Amino acid sequence: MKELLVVYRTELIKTKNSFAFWLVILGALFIPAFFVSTIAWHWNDYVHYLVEDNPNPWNEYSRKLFNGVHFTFLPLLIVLLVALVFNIEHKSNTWKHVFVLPVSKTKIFIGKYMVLVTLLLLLYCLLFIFYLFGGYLLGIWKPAFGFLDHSPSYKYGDVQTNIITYISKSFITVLAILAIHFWLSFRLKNLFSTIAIGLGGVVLTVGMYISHWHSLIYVPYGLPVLMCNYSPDVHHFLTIFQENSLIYFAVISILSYFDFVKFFKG
Amino acid sequence: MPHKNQFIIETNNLAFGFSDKKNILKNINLKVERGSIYGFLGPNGAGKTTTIRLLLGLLRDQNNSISLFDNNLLHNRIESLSKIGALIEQPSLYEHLTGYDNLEITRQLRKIHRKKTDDVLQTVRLSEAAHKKVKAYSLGMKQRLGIALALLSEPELLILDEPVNGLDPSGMMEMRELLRMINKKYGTTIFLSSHLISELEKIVTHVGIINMGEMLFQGTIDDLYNLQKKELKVHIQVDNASAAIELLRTFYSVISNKGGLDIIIKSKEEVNEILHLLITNNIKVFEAVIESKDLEQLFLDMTHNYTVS
Repeated sequence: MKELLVVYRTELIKTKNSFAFWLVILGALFIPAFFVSTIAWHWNDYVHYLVEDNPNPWNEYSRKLFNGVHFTFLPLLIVLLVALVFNIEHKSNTWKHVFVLPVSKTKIFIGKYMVLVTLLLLLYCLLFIFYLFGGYLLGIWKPAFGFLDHSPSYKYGDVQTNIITYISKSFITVLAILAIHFWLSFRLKNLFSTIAIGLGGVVLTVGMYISHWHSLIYVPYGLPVLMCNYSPDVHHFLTIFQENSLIYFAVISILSYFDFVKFFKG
Repeated sequence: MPHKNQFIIETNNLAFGFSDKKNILKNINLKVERGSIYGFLGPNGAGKTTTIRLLLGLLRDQNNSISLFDNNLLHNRIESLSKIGALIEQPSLYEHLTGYDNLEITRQLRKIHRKKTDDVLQTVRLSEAAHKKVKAYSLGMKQRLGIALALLSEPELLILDEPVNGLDPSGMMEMRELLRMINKKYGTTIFLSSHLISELEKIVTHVGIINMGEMLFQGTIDDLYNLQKKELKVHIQVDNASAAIELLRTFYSVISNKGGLDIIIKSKEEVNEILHLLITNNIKVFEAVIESKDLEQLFLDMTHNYTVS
């Protein structure tokens, strides 16, 4: 366990000054900054939209903002993030150095996974912070919005959801893409190949969004998109597409682990 | 106390191919003595890097024929790697990080005391540039940082693949001095490859020459010099070259060269006989120079004249 933590720490050092690290910050900032500026620019329309039709402005603010995050932006961001983290080893030609160190391949595999999950958690934390910051900033700027009079929440239809629960479920839906691109990114040296595959997946999702909406629960790239206008299952904590994401994550991670340990030579 | 084998690296008919049809390496029997500086020489594509990758377990030796530190590599990979420092082809460096951070990654993974980072930086004379990003380093500095990485664990064995490749003459000299110092000061066995014998002959104690996947020579540098001394040539300038050739060709192998003659001889004593023969036949001799094949020429002849049996 101690050795695993050392591997994890060294993997974190590798992300220092890298574009992957900056992508997490900029990626988390982009949609909240864009959305808050749009509201500020057209604040007259939004006062009517956010306040008059809703007792709590946070509900509609959350729905709109997270729809923007989940519809194609988040899947592409994760594809790019995973590709950039692995590109650190490919670009520096360091796999051979990593594999001649007295550390087992299992620990290297888990260490890389831990770093990617850490970056993903950081992305979600920052996204949440920028989301809150945006809401409170609007509340301070125009008290008429009423952001300061209510607590942050998410509601679609009649179902009210805790915002932390909503974000946690969003995290679960991206795990399938993380696992697929984890495998692709250590196998494909060319950064653009993995990005092109991710882009293809997202284009497929957009194509299916209207005509084959119900089949999207089986398309890994489509799972985050299903968080748009998400209405939680009141009887179960996870909805079927979130369970599918966990199954994809588990199966693909196990397969990629065996490929990494047995066959991958760097 | 268990008796230590004198060889730190030993291979027994090491063979390897990426396909079943063609072997890149054929029956390589490496014997690298402890404490030696072993130069592994061969032209590009001879099989040097493949051999090194096999020694480090980066390629799998199907026949289980590699022994490092008296142990079979296949069964003791992690333990063997903990005693080896390696630099394969270009140094593996994270260019977006500082030299210090690069060393920190390896130091932490090898569980070495923090102080060692400063020590190796000093050894390779990079203390002042330690906190600069590696992308700002010159090629020589990168090579030195690569050596520093390999030295962190105070390895018993240092495996370096083409460590002077691409360096300018002063960079090469610095690298040679550094390796000599490491070998002397820490008693580290150094196994290094190169495609140019002139880069290595000044520091190596032992040499292995490989071409097209087969070992052509293995021994001490003195063994190689002895081989070289067996082939001597005398260049003579005379007033009548054609008459001299006619006279000498009965006894020696003679060729015309730059208005003079090149005569292959077996010992220096033969020069006296040749000069006596020329002078007694009224051919004036202006110059006689004994030339031995240098190691470079010997190496080139060995590798160029070689055809696969």
